[in-house]
Amino acid sequence: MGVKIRNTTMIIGDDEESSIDIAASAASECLKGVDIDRSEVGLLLNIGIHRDKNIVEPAVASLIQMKTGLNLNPRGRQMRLGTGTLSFDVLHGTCGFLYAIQIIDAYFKSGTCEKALIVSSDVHPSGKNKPGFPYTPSAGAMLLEKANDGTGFRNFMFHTAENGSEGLKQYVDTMAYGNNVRKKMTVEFEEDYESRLKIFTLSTMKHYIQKFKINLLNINHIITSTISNLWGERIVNALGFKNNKFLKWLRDTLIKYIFKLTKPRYYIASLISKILGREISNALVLGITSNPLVDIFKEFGDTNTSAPIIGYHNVTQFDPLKEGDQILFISSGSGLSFACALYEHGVD
Amino acid sequence: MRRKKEKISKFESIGIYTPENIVTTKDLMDQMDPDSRVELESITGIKTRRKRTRGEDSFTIALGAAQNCLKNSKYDAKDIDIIINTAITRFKDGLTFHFDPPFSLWIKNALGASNAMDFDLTNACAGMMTGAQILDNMIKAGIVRNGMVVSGECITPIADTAVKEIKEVIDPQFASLTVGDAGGAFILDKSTDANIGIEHIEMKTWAKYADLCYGMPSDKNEGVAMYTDAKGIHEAALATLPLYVGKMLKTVGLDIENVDIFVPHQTSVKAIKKLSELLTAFFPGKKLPKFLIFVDEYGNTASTAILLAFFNALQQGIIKEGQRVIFMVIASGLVIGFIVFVVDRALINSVTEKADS
Repeated sequence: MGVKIRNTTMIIGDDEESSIDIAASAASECLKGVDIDRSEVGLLLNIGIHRDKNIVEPAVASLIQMKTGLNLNPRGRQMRLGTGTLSFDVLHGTCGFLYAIQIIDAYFKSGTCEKALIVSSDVHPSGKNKPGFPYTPSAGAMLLEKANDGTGFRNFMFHTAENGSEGLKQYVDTMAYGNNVRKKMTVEFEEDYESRLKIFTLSTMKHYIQKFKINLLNINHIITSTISNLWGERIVNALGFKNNKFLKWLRDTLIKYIFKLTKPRYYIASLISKILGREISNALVLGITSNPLVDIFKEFGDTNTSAPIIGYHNVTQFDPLKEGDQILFISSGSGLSFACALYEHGVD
Repeated sequence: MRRKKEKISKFESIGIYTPENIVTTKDLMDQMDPDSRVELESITGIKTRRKRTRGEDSFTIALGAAQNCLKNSKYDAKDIDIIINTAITRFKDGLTFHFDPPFSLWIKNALGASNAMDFDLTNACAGMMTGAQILDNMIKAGIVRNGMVVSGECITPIADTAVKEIKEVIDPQFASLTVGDAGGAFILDKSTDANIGIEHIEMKTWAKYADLCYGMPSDKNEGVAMYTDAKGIHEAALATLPLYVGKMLKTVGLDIENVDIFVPHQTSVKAIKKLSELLTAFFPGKKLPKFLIFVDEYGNTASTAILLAFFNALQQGIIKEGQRVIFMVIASGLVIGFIVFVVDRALINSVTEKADS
């Protein structure tokens, strides 16, 4: 029994945005796209760490649930066990997505519910995209359901550093901003954060590959965190994948001279996929070459906690996964922290 | 539907930490503008609360509770498979509120729980009990063998703000005057006795009422505040609870008379007594459980309130071996839920024979 992905949505926000509204929009869109009994969505987990006005109570997930209109007032049959929604926030920086999946896995296996929604959003607490705020205002939503055929997420590993500094800290000094505490936060990167995180991630990946006997040649896609524009490439190259230079040139040339607009690019890419095959299509849409990296940073910047959902969404939006396709989610972040899991697509 | 559920996990140990500094309700009222003062003690029944002193914050309070929990446990830190931090407040190094990395990581490293996975969970005052459901499910699913849920609430800063900002008798910050600081931690592990353990956990979010209470920074001064439509929350909760209690008991195949102790979330003496009256009316002719009330001594300690009341009752011999307890969760969101379990001798011994804070 596992956790399988039923549907995803992503939103790239405007310069003025609400983290709660954008997450609720993503959740609504995600639920609209599928034919399910909504009373069965037993969990709504918010993994975003930034919140409007630095709200700390209630769980931002409950405000997102309210705005989404999901099981607002369970009465009557929704008071039955296994129906109605419990919403709460799960926080572990950029690794939050995989912790949320692990929690959902436990709920599904214990029979508490059979469907769950993960939402994410990262927007500056002031609602305005401040200079120096490193994250793209963005949101994602993912609907999960129980998989009974052994597919879905498996091989979870979570690891944090026992020593050394955190690398990145995000906090609100509630006594330092006068009466502007709702509109401010501090994002503090240490100079060697990315280099230390890369060493930490790769050494832990080595253990992961050995422990679960992962054959990297079977991996169709790798979705990493969006630490920087070169992060994903560095991780995937260090794992042994090399860029196909011709396909990279083709992708860069087409994007530069022809595909200036997003929508036509996708439609044309989808047409080309039918003519030339999937690999060329993926190269055009996202820059994936024979290298399985799902590089969303180039198009969307640092989408922080939403990166796993946005990565999956972009892989599957116009080119559905086939049965047996495997995706490796490798998340890295402050702490230092690491989380990894394998996703295998089952029968649709 | 009658449903006999296998007891899989049990409470293995509990730890509490409360700051030594005691502030009476009179002390608190004396800090307010005389025109804004209310008869807080007579309205809420709260006489005293604990308040952090210099050097104390959510982290130190959480760590104190976690260390006391391990002292009462057969496990060492390295035996713990998961640590879930469930506090609303994540103040460290004074009143700096942290969002990333998670607080659980600092707690884990300070304890030396090097083999544990960890994450933060926020669910208002329902945090610890939501953590219990997650951990119970993880033990049932075989993902972990045991785990610790910990919460360190340094919440009196909202009372500091309320004292400064309340100008009228009816004010959305009134509920902030009822809070107190406390830390709690418990360890769940697999039960080896079919008669011992957690029988049922359920929780739902009535999100129609999610905007009735906000905890956020003040917009008038530095610091944090809480704005509550207390009447709205109580009406919504009390309207829902009796029916929900009835349905929950039916689901697990219990009668109200099979329950010995109710531990509701501790908001005020009046609210708990009102709840007791409503349930008495809902179950006519039935003997109702004893309702634990410790809010008069500690105030509303947010996510740690239920555990603090339960721990004190165990220590004082109010709860006996074999008694059935229901934790009743009522929290902003609006989260309502229950944990139903039977108390065993080992848990009582762990709390009464070893040191607490």
